[in-house]
Parts: sequence; structure tokens; C-alpha cells
Amino acid sequence: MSAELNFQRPPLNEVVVGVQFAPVPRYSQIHAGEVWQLFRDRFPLVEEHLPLEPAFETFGLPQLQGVSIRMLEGARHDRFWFLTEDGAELIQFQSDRFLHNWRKRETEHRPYPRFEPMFRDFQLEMLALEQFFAERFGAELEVTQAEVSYINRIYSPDGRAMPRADQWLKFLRFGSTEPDDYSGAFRETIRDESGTPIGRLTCEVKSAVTQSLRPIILFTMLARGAPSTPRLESAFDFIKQGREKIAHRFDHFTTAEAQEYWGREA
Amino acid sequence: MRRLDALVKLPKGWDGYAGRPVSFPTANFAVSVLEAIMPPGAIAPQIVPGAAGDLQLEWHAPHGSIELQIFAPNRGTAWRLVNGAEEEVNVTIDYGLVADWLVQFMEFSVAPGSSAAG
Repeated sequence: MSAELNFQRPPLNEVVVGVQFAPVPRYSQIHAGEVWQLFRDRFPLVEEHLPLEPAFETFGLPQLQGVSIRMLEGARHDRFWFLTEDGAELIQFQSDRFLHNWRKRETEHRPYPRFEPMFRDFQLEMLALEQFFAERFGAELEVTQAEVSYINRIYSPDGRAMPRADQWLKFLRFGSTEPDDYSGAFRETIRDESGTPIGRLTCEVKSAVTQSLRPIILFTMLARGAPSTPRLESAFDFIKQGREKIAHRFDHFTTAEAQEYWGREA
Repeated sequence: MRRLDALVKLPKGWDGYAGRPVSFPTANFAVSVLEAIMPPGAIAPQIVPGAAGDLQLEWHAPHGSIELQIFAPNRGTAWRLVNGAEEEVNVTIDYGLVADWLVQFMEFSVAPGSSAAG
């Protein structure tokens, strides 16, 4: 979280920073191994996954959540995961995406490395990728969207019972009877200094259970939008702004009791 | 959607010259724009490919036209002709004005001869 919002035991489970960019002409999946070589020393493990769909934040009429059209498609580039030995950090790469994840591992107690060092790593990785595309294909990286997400897992103090929503989140009150399960989402426009929309903060909350069957509230906050220019510097600026927005709203949405439990630092 | 999908799969030189297929990101961005601006019951646009991988969304009626050209994600122009007057703006991700145009265009289309809202 921000300099003003730090916790000794944050409920953070995963942080993702990334960009979406225009596919580079003449680049194809056959070159993905060369991209891996850029990061292989720190990310020696590889997994293949289905690609992420292109995602754009656009503005017009008020939109209904969950109403979206997906395009049909032909052959597409896989999404590669390049992972550290312990799997706590990974790069996700496909022909139009580059993301860096930090994940909390249930079996380990490695603390969140804080945003700044992780973001610095991401910046260096993006610059390496940009240089690769320039030298190999004579192409500039043209960023279309940038994003940052914080995925929080909220446990009850005993770790066994489903956490009572209103003790942790100010906006979720069910009254005297908690439902068996729930899910929902809400969005907020992110604007620049002139008031022009540049992106959205999307928050999703739902009840869930972990792989070890511990009940949790899963609270995800994603800031995504178009940087002011297609250049990397603008994408980095958007991510920093998005992260500040997330920190501010997290402070606003969570109860004082929850923040005390997570060890908010003065 | 089938139309957009077909435009992405156009062969190179589809126009008899050096025309490129509509790029996949541009087509996806166009879908996102349509989601943002189409009011319920809106008339589907004509979708016209450009030679440079761009595309144009067009609405035409006797009382006017709207044309939305998308060069690439986050980059386009919007133009309309209504009552003989033309208007053109550059657009990035905020299509609020185009959505307003489309609502007005629909009102005209539903009630021919009535005056434009707003």
C-alpha cells in the first residue's frame, strides 16, 4: 500500500502490474523463447496457459456489469508464465501482454516485498522487452492499457469460520443473517487532472474457500486504463496513479477494526 | 460480431492493392467501444474495413449520419452530419459525446420529422 497506508500483516495475497500493447509486426510465438532468455536467470521455470483476452476501458453510456461481447478468433499466442524457483513471482507474457505477479504462497512465510521494489523490477523488465523488440524487429512498444491489481484474502481471526463481512468491509452489511455465499462488483472512473476519464477502478468481492478449505472474503481491486501516451513512461505513471487510487479506496472501504487487526502502521 | 471476425480474417491485399486485414486489437477495441455507446435497441452499424488495418463504424439515415473511424486502440475520429451541419472530433477512450449523438440519432430514427433532442 502507499507510504501512508502500511500494514504489518496485510491481507494481500497477490499483486499484479502489467501492460497491454499492440502486437509487434513480424513477432510470432516462435520468438517467445528469445523473450524468456531475457528473464531466465531469475525466472527459470516455464508454464503455458491460455491467452488473456484483449481488455479495454472505454466510456460512453452507463454500462451494465458483466455484459460483454467476445470476439471469435483464430490462432493465438499462448500465455507463458516465467516463474522464480519458489513460484512467488512470475512474469506473464503473450504477444500483446506483459504482467509481473507477486503471490503469497500458503506454505511459505515470505513477506510481501512491498510495491516499490516489485515495481522497479517490472520497469526494468519492460525496458528489456522494449529493447528486445527494437533490436530484433525495429519496432517501438505501443502501450494500449496499463493495470495494477491487489488481490486480498480476508480471514477470520481463528481462520476456520467465514469472516463476518461487516467487520472487515464497510460497504457490505447483510444485517443479522449472513448469507451462505455472495459475490458482487462495483466500478469507479479514474480521471486525469482535467476530469477526463482515463481508466476504471473495478472492485470485486466474494466469499470463497482457499485450497486448504479455509473460508475467506476475496476482495480484488483492479485499476486499468489508457496511459496518456503509448510510451512506457506514461504506462508507469498510470500504474503509480492506479496504485494510489487502490490504496486510498482500500483505506476507505475497510473498517478501523480490520485495519487494527492487520497491524496498520502509523 | 461475425462481420468483425470476418474483417480480421481478410487476406492481405483484400482490396486489390495492399490492404491489410483489420487488426485483432483494433477489432477488439471496436467491440469495447460499441459496448460503451450502444443504447438498448440501437441500430447496428455498418462496419467498413480500411486499407491500413483500421475500420469504420457507420450509421446512416435520411436525417443524418454518424461515422466513427478507429485507427487503432485509443485512437480515432468521430464525425456526424445532422440537419446539414457537420461536426468532427478526435476520440481516444471517452466516447460519451458519440453516445449522445447516437441517442439523438435513434430518437430521430424512431420519430421521423421530430426535432433533435438537446
